[in-house]
Amino acid sequence: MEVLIKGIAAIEWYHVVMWAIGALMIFLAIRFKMEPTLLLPMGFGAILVNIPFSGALNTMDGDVVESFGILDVLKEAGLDTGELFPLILFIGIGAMMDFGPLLSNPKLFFFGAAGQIGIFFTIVLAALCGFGLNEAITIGVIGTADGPTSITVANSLLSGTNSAYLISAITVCAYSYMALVPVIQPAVIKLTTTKKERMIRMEYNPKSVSKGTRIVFPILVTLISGLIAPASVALVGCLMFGNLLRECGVLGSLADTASNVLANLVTIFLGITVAAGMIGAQFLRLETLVVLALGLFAFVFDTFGGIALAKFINLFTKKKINPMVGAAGISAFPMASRIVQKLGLKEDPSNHLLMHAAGANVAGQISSVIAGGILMAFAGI
Amino acid sequence: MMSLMAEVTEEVTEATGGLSQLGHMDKEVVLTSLDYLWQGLLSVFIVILVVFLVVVILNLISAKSAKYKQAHAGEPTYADKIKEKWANFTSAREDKKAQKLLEREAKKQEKKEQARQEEDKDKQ
Repeated sequence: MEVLIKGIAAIEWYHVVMWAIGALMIFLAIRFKMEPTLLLPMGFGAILVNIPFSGALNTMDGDVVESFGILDVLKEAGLDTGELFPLILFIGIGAMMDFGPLLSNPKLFFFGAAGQIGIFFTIVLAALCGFGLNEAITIGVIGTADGPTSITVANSLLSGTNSAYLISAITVCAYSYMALVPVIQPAVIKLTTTKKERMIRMEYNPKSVSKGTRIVFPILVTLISGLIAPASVALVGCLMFGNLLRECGVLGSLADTASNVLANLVTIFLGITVAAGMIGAQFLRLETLVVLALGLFAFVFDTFGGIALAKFINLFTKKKINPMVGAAGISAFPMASRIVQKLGLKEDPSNHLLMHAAGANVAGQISSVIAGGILMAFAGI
Repeated sequence: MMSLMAEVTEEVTEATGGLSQLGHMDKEVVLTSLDYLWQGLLSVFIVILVVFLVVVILNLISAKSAKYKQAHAGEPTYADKIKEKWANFTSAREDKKAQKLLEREAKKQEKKEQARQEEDKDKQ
């Protein structure tokens, strides 16, 4: 009889709180469709690992593993060993991306760079809060608005240290705020722009981009960012490899597999594996709440960075740029560009900003990966 | 710059133990993070500037080649010229092969004829 109530007797308050958090994540994923591909597996994983004596985790006898649990095995293979899952996911993301709008209007690259401002301000703020340097960097990386980059940087800087508990907090935070982009960005845009600015029209004259440019672009970006920040090679390389599969024109079935089957498969494992770190006793602490607050700050400043650059350029040019296009320079693709299109249409039903915003959005994707690599280089990785 | 930053990070991490002490700000960590602020942003903008320039150059090259193609629309392209040369070369080779085959066949026929004539002579 004792065996049957062993699990029930071991329930602590933090287990119950984590079940509630897991249930909330599943609810948000299903009811509001907030990043369901990741929030649902993560929510279920949070419940799995917070059942006392969970068989999903390794059972330890001192320092020796008594029996292996699937989540710990997946974590070791997919996250701890060279950040395999997020990098493979990047191949799929690269195969989904169309750099056409960006290549036909390369000025939009700078909005992607401006959209990374939040990362660096958040690092300073995290340091002011008392976090260590590596912790501050990983918290700042939430501002890349890019789940795989956040996981890769956090894992390579914090794995195996006493701050490893922050990896799950940072991942949850990054994906939660990505899901909340439709709430955060319109508020920031409305606060920092005038109605007149939001109504600025931008002509769209797409120049045809040659097949050669589309093929050479991913190779050159990998070379340039790799030579300047070698730590970014894995991140940029996987993203650009996926894009090369798409653009080369002779590997249609591989590009299709990478963007659909491979990306979906890795997403399933990534979500549930990340949850392996959401063990209540380590996860529920003040630092996690502070990370959530700092993550929000990073997203707000990223949006503001792009808007500020557009406003600055408008001071010197005749052809004005709608500052909302600058706000799309974050990595959350394609949400950020859709929001800009929606807000533009709301102010003026005939003002279509989607293609400009999409260009800035993919520039944000490239810049966020480069920023992640640069921070890893700063940290000596 | 990167290696210097990495060294500074290592020193600061060693000094602070790499751990957070929430509410207890470490001056050295804050100063290093301020360095990251300007150096990180500068690095991102430099990389993006280089990528921007490369894309502009690529677009210029492809625009020029498109213009050239338009201007020389009726004329055979360089690729066409190479194809033509290759075709001529291969057809010449084919002709030579065919000629050799014909010569060989002719020789065979000649030999057969000679053999037949010799046989006839022997019979006579």
